[in-house]
Amino acid sequence: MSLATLIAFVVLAVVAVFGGFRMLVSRHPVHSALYLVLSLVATAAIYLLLAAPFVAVVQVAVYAGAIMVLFVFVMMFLNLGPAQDVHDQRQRRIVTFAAAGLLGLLIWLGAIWRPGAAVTVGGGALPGYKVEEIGVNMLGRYALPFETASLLLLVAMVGVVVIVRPLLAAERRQAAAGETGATTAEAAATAAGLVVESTEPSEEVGH
Amino acid sequence: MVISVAASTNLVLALSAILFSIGVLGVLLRRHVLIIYMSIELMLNAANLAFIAFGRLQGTIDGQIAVFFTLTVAAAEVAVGLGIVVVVYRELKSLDIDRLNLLKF
Repeated sequence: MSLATLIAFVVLAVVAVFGGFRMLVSRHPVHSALYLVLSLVATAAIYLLLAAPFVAVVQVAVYAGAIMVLFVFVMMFLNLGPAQDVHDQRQRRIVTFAAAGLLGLLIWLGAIWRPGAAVTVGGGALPGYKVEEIGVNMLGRYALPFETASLLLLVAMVGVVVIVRPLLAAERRQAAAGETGATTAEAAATAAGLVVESTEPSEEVGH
Repeated sequence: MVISVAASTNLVLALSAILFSIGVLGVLLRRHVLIIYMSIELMLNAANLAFIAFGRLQGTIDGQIAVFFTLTVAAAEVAVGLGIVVVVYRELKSLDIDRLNLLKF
């Protein structure tokens, strides 16, 4: 790591920590999300310095792009106001800060402690590093974890559908009740049907 | 001036530990579900940084491949978590975790 790289790293590290800290103290969830994007993009730039260009691109596209857009989308969807929680007891906050600082110190000490020659130290920047290598390894040595990851995503998708389905069913029935509300007798009948039917999906999920 | 790979790795690991601690603080101090989720994302990101630093130290590509699996887990977690958040908000009209106490006696 040359001096220029070191300076770039320190600047990016300060930006990443600043973004993370502002995410922690911001009152409004949308501000938190935007500061987290700043922190994630700074981390992506650090990946570039650490000879991991493909991971940097994926970080920007998936983390700062897709995942954070999902967060902001949910905030807009629910029309959230500012959080009501920033006033905690001062003493408790100090204790929490101390505990987290101690934890961070322990993590760092544990990470830099390398007894003996347990770790073979390579030549810095990966020699002959190509993006193809990631693909070849992913479908070669790591084929089984790769397939397991796809299974995980499938389970997550099905899980979300199962969690949200009672909500969607209730909304659909409400919409149907609104459409057929021409006569009051019809509306009352639909409302009665809604009460009877609404127990079904929740039972389905429960079992 | 050239800094050795081991020394620069220690610097990156320090940044990783700081970011992880900020994530822990977010989970411990904040009461808003979405901000807690974002803190968890920050912790996963710190773990990714450590993976890449160690992979560079060893001179292999395995650290970078581990990052992709972490990313997959993060994406799955966010998808399920935000689905739960939407359902909870429709029920309670609030995302304060102190109000999610249905399992408490």
